[in-house]
Amino acid sequence: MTPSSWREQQKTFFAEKNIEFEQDQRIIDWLDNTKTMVIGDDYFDKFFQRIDKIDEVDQALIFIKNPISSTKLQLLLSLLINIPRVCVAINKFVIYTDKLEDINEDYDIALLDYIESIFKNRVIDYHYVPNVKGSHFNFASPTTQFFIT
Amino acid sequence: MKSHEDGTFIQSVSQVHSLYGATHPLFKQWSESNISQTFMHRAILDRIDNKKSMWIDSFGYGLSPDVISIEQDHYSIALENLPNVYFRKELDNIETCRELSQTFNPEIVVYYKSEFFKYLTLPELIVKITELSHIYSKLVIYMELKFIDFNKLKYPTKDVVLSLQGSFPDCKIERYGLNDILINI
Repeated sequence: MTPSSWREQQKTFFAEKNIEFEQDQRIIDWLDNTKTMVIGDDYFDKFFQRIDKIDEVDQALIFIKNPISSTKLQLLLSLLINIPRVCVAINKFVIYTDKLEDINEDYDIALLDYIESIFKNRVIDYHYVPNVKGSHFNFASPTTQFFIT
Repeated sequence: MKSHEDGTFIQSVSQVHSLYGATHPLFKQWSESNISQTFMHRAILDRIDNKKSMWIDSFGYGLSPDVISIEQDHYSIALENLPNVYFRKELDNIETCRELSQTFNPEIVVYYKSEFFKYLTLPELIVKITELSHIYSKLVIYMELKFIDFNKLKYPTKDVVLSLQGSFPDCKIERYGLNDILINI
């Protein structure tokens, strides 16, 4: 299954046509139609001007859907800290760490603390599904989303 | 069948087929005539060698047509007419498990990447394994820890495995790759 086909396939399970999943609609509503760097998902390309030169972009959208260590993710996100608007969407099940960390026990809070530690002194709007279970989806987990300005 | 909470849910044979394939890798490989025994497959098959095994929500038929496969009732339209494949509603219910044990009297029960071992917290996982171990005399569970709901920024996988091992000191837990574990009870 290609990275975006899961979304199209999942949509076929609904009688309604042209629906957007709530988590996708939230991103569409938030993004400006401006120069945008995208990492990890090309589904949203039609909604803005996608370019890959990091020094020229006004906003960035990064999807994390594949296993990645917290250290590597921090390095990746650090490249985006000077971009005025950044949306980070993370499948929180795919992150892993190699060493025990002294952080908040609640994963959802720990994730917010983690993002805040990277995007310092920024305003962060945070959306997550508490107690996520399989009933929320078929092919893919909901993403925890951070809208950073 | 549950799905995303907004929208009206519909299903056809092809939709159920694709959904079952997306969540059950053995079925996906089998339906594409692409099944090949990997190291982890052989590790499981070695454990059921010559024993009467019952595979739950795992499409065991794909690895060995002789095993008893028990699948969730809502997938039946995608799996009809396969030998030794049976269907149950509420397959994750502990009473259903008791009924299956009495009906099929398996020597060993296998869960391979089952949906029933996804999106559980660690305490929920421990309770589930404990309950199943009281019903089935031998249990083999192959599961992906990435689907377990724990604080993945705080706890390394090895610590989670150690915690599980501490809860089941008499069983053997082996790691496969980054995230997978094989539990023998």
